Amino acid sequence: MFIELHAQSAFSFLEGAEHPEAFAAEAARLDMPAIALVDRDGVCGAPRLARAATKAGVKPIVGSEITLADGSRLPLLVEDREGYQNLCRLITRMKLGAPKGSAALALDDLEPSTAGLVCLTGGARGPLAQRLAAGDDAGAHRVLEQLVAFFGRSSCFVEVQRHYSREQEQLLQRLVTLARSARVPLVASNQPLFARPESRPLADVFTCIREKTDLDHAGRRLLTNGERSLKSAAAMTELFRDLPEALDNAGELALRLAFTLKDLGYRFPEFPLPPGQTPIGHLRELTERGVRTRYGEASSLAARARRQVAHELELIGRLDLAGYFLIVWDIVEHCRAHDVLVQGRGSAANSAVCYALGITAVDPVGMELLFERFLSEARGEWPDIDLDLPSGERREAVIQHVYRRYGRLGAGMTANVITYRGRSAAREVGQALGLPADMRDRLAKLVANWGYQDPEELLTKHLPEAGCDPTSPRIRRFATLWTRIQDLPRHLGQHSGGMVIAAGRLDDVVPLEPATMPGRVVVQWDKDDCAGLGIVKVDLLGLGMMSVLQDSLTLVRETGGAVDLAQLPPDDPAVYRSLQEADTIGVFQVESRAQMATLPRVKPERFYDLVVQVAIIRPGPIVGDMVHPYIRRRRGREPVTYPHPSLEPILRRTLGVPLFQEQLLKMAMVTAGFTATEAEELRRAFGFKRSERLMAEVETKLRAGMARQGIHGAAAEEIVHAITAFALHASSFALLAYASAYLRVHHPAAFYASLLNNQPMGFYHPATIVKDAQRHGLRILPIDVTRSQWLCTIESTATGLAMRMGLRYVKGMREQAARALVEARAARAFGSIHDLARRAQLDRDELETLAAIGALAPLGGTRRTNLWAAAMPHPGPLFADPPREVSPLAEMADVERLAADYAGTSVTLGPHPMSLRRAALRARGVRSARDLAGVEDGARVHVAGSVIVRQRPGTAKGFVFLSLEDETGIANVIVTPPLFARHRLALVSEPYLVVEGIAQRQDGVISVRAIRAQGLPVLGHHIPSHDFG
Amino acid sequence: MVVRVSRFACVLVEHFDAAAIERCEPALRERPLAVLNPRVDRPHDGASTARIMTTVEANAAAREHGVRPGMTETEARARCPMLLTRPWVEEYVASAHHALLEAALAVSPRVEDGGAGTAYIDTAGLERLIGDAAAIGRRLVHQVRAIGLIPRIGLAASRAAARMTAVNGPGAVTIIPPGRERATLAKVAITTLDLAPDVAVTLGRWGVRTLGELAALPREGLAARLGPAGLRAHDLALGLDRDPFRPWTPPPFWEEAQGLEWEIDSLGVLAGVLETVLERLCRRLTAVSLVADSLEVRLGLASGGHHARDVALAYPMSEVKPMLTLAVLDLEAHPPPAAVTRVTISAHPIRTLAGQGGLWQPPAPALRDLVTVLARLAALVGAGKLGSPVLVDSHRSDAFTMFAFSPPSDSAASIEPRNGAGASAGLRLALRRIRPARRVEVETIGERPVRVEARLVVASAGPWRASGEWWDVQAWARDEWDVVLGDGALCRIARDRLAGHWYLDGFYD
Repeated sequence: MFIELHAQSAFSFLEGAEHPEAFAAEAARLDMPAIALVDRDGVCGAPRLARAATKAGVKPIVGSEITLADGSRLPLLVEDREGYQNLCRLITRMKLGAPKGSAALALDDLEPSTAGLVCLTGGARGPLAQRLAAGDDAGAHRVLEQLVAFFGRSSCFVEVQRHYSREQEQLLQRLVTLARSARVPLVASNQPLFARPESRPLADVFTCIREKTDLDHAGRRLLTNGERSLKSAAAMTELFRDLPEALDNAGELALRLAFTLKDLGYRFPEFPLPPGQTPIGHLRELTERGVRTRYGEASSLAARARRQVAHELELIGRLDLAGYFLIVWDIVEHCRAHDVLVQGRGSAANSAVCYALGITAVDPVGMELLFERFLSEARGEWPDIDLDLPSGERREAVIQHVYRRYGRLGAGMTANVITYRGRSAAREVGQALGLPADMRDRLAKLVANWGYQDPEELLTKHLPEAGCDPTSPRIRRFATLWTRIQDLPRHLGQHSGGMVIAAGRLDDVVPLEPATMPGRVVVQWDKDDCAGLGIVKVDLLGLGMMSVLQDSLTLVRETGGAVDLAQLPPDDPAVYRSLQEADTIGVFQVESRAQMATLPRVKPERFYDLVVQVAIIRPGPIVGDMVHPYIRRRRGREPVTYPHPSLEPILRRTLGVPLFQEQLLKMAMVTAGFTATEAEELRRAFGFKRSERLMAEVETKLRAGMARQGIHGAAAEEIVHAITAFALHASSFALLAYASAYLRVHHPAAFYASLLNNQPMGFYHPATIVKDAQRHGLRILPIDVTRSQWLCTIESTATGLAMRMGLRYVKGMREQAARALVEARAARAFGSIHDLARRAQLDRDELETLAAIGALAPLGGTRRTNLWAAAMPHPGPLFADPPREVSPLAEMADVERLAADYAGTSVTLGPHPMSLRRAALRARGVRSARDLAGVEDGARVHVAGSVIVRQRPGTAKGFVFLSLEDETGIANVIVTPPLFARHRLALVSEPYLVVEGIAQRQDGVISVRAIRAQGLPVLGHHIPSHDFG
Repeated sequence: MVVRVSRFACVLVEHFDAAAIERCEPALRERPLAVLNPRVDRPHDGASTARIMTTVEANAAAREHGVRPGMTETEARARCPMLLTRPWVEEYVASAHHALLEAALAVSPRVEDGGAGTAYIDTAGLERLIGDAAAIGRRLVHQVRAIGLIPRIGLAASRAAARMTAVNGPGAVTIIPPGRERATLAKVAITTLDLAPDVAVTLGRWGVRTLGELAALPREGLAARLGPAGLRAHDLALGLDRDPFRPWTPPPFWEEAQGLEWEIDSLGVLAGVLETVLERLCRRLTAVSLVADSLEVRLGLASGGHHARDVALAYPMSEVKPMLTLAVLDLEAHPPPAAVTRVTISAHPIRTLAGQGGLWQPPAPALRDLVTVLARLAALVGAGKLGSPVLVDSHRSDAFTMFAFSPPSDSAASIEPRNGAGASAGLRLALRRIRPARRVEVETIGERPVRVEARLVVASAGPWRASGEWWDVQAWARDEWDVVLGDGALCRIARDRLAGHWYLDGFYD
């Protein structure tokens, strides 16, 4: 009986042309009881094959081809766990021992790691065939003997293949002779690159992508024919009727290869415990201590918390997860000890144990969050704890700590499988088909909006729109190939923050690869695969706002203040006032234009409202049409109803509108009878870009489930619509939003300084942030070579704390030069401009920029006199400074100063450009942003300002939203699609606009519906805007 | 009163690339026109390049609507929906510029090429011929308008001052009286000067916006800070121009013609005339050590029309005989439709470097003989059928293409032994191919052939399967079989899997 032992999926990147799942399905269709996936240099596809094959009743066999130093490839199959560990170690050794992309092993390297592995000699690229093809029969014989010596006679097979090729047949005869003379058994395989013959074109396209050519020029590098599909036992029997033993050997060998990924042998690291303590005991002790600190001793909340903690600990103990919590707690403690701000996000926020351990910062008991969303017995996998850390160096330090703690081979980042999608797929397929460049561009632009399509629909509907002839054979091929290539793996990337750790060596569990980033290794599986195989994962994610918060706290501390993020007053009225007024520039998650437009309508009054606010302005709820119903219900304009009575308990808190993922999961369970596992599938379909196909499958299941429960028609549609658009639970983010709003209101100097020091981040340009800070009364001091540091700092002045702009805002200034400047200044004050230039080693451009922005003023002179002096080259260190000449240059006017500020620092501390035009604008009847507050609904108004945001959300049916900034604040403008079409150029490209329109007032939000728009004549500079992002 | 004549005039045609097109299509002059050229952009993902049509020039009417060079076509159209566009054509600009210089030359023998659309004229002494500065200006306007361009003229003591006044002057002709350069130019923006970017940035920072402000800066201070570039800018601001005058002379004209007093309708007779004309042309080329790499033969016809042929020469040459052969062969293949009354031949001249054949190069026929023979053969069998057959890199059986013959180069590669690796796998059977393959009738059992043209197949091997070009209309798929027939013949037959036909490919020796 024949079993295919050498299948290669698309995880043999740019060779195989199908998902591992397709092989599983085809094997099942062909009644093949087992199949081995032997991708090139890795086991990336193994978990996916294992899942699909097991489901289809096919035994998955694990293996991998190993690239040898002579360029040949040796297929190895795994017999038992030891063999698997050997394979992982071999691949790891190969990958980590060479630069990315050029890994290979010498044949001798295999010797110590062959136990539990079975070696085939490969197809045309195998070490024997390569030598025989080159006429080196003796070499082939030598290699075979070496392989027999390494693997043993019973674990080494000469592989024979037949793809109807004359040359291959000649080679096969010589292989058979060789095998017989060396007394090595034969094994037949077809080495399929695709499950079904229809996928041959895609394999050819991959060849073109790999060889950087197109189909017309790839020549004999393409496959000779379409015979590299998975073949049935009958077809193989017919092909090998002269070598029946080769087929029988394949079947017998498959029986021997008993290893499955269930037998990984993964253990998570053991946490070092106090003597005599058990993990759960230690966890209980730590948790109880935490509960006392968090909740106190005797309150009803504390009692509820204790009950919840006991419930959670009981489950954690039953699932034997105490060690996992201790490890995460350990990382968090390390952060605390090294003054790195850390906070758990995501579903961990639903756990009272996490809160008590200090992993998360939101009280799930008080918030009544559902613990099962985080951890449920049914799921049978590790809980997912994501930790937010300050981005940049501090996060990297934590990652390196984990490597140190668990060993370089004990920890790794999870992979991110980069797949073929939309535009890039269209470009590559178009290129392989040899389509002209302009057509490729047109197709690439168009496909971005197509999503998943039936190729027929693509052909009849969309391609003619793109100006392509759908009857042309290449265009027809493009449609099919583009559809087929979607979601196929392209290469392995690195997940942004997911880390897996193991007791002992992680490379016993999964092969490791070097990451592009030095000092990091990546495992060959993505986070879902790791989760599916029960491997502990901790996400260490970098968040710019965490850096801002941490820097703010440091600055507050340095200026004698004290803020503890864990102890922030929960209901600070000033914070909620600023949120209700949408005064949120720089505030985490709620600073975008869309957030600002809804904040005054939602009017958050307590923390839960903020959680809702953070959750609703996301693609999910917006697509699902949830925002407006929620706001209408919140304002009492619409009755609270439920799509189905059974949903009332789930949706009561959000007024009948599903806003959170966990609500959606519960809805699926209640309305469609989903099991916890099925709900988990639904969560995965939401959670990652694995595929829209998965989403479609889930949707079908959902409808079927609801039909079974008797839910049909509009109610069913409403539920499906709601479920397929989703929101993540957002309490941890809401806390960061609250903390940032709190610091902004109560410690503006520290907050704005930190925000400016962590740019670029968030939604607004520094110019807008600076003006916002000034409008809030913060005194911002200009860049000054006698006082400024590299970063923005805080200074105490007679009128209170002020922020000093840092040298990092000087355009073109090297950090090294700025630090030299600060150091030289500390040694001795600068005597003159030339003294500064010489001692800080500034180049002429840096010196002139400093002069132009007024940063040299404290050394004497005005901007222009300093520019005149700075332009004079210094004769050298042996000579005296050139004498100070009288400058012949005229002093800068206000407008010139403004222009010099923007040109040299991107920001200005002087008057807003609009204020220079205010008198003239007032004469034209143009109102300031502040004056807009007093106008009636429906009044005709004129507003003007610098365009700081242009947005055209996909969900807004072509409407465009603009934010115009002037010296008093920000005005919101709504542009209808016809107006946008008429004035597209002005609206898109003019930095300053005057807009005439009708004031619209809705729940305190004032916006102007534009009727006319035109550019304001150039003011010499403009503030960069956040456009269509 | 006669005003003393300034020494230099500047003739300037604004928006010259657009003006060059308007010269060819005068109807465009009053309408908004943009000249476009594709700009190649590399998208961020680096996957492929995108060509974006970008405005390189706009005429005055288009500029009134806000169209400016550098805008994309979409931007320009958004500003001016009735915008007309034309592609940028180098020949239009070059010939318009040439015409402009020639027009200037008609006024003064001393003309300097000032770059596209600009000419400087030394007007010294012209007052006695033409009149005062205004009259010279008017004459220049008249001459330039006559060639279809609309100029602005500035007259001043230096070329720089003349140019700036031409750019900024109120009318078509502006004259700066002697000694008034600095005062007249004081209000002109320094952007007129075309300064190096770093100098322009520094002056911008200094708040220097006009030539007057620049002229007012201390010269030593400028020299210390900006070096020679600063001094030059200062000179220009003062209306001074220290560069030497470089007179322009028209480039030589490599063309010879022969008018005929009688009509020629035989190629043999025409060849005699062509030879005479070519001899004159080649003598001129040889005299200045030039060779021609292509010829244009233009024949005036008795019917009143023209017959023009470009004759590419296989290598740059100045010998009459091969040129004549090539020209005659070309005319044989493409004869004029009527009798010939005039013959004009122009040459595209290039300079060649002398060289010699390699020491190891085998003796070969003279290059010119070879070229002539090849041209004759190509005329006989067709250009696509001349050369060496080369196997195409394809799985398709017997696919080949013709590789055009080219004279041997002197590189060492040509004498290296051919790499025989891969051909060493022992003796192989030779296949004697039948071209084109012959259609045969084949009986099969299953897929396996049992009779070929009623001859019994006694042994067979196969199928050897190949398919390809599935992406286009030439998709093919075939199975080959090696069969031994009853009479002992060993042959290769093949089945076209798409059409179902069988073919005899050839016999094995």
